[in-house]
Amino acid sequence: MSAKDLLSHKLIDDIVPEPLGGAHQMHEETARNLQNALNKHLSALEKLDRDELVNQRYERYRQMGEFKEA
Amino acid sequence: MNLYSLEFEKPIQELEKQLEALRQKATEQEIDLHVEISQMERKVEETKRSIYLELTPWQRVQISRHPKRPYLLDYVAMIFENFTELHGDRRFGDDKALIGGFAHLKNGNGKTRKVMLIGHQKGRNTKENILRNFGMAHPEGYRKALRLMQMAAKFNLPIITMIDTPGAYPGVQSEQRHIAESIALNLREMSLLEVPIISVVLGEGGSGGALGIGVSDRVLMFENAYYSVISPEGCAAILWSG
Repeated sequence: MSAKDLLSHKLIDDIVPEPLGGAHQMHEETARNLQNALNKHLSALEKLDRDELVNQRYERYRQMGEFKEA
Repeated sequence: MNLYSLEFEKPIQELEKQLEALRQKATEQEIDLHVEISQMERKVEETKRSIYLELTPWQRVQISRHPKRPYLLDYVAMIFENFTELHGDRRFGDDKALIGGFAHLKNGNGKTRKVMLIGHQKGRNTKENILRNFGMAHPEGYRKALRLMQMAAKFNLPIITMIDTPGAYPGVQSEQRHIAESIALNLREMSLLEVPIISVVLGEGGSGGALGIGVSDRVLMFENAYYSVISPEGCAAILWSG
């Protein structure tokens, strides 16, 4: 499953962009993209208190999966 | 090594070669070819776009496994400081396919953030790959990961896990030391840790091998990474085993 597919099903939260042709074409640019993404998400998570953090993580996994009643 | 080594990258490789030949001709014979060169450069760029913006799933898998793709230790060198690797699961041994330790994540403004960094490490050549077991961890790897994550929780450090594995190692020794239990325990314990956890799929996200360090508050994926319940080859082996 590719990153786009998984994002559309909300199984992942964000896609880190790669340079044209793939990460191996330009290591520095790839690393910078990763660094920005990590810092952005860490900053957001650091604002939550412990209970919120664990509850949100639990809910995140509880809400996974889609189904249709037959 | 050529950066365009995959089958579907042949047209790019061919054009780059022509471009290089043009440049050489221009310098050697001291003639002005800059019109031809810039035309060729444009053509290379257009070809790249037409190929890379329309990648098929299998082409993406090939990119995710590219031997020149950056691995965990490459990111350590580029965006982390003071990586202090910790070894061993305190039960059996040290797994070189799944490594971790304290690190400082740079934020780009000269500041850093203390984190616990854990992830799979692949090798670039045969010797390295034997050491790293092709990024396929044994139970002791997952137990070490859990040990480090619990240590992070004790010190109130956020956890970053980097996933890059075709799967957990499916061998006799893995079963003898109970790979299923080691991964299952990680799933349960990771859901209870009281520190932020972020996972990133760097290249290959192979099933349980990925999930064993992948229960997180945020799961990120690189554009050309894949994350699946089984590697494409593993799936094909089951579907067409008869």
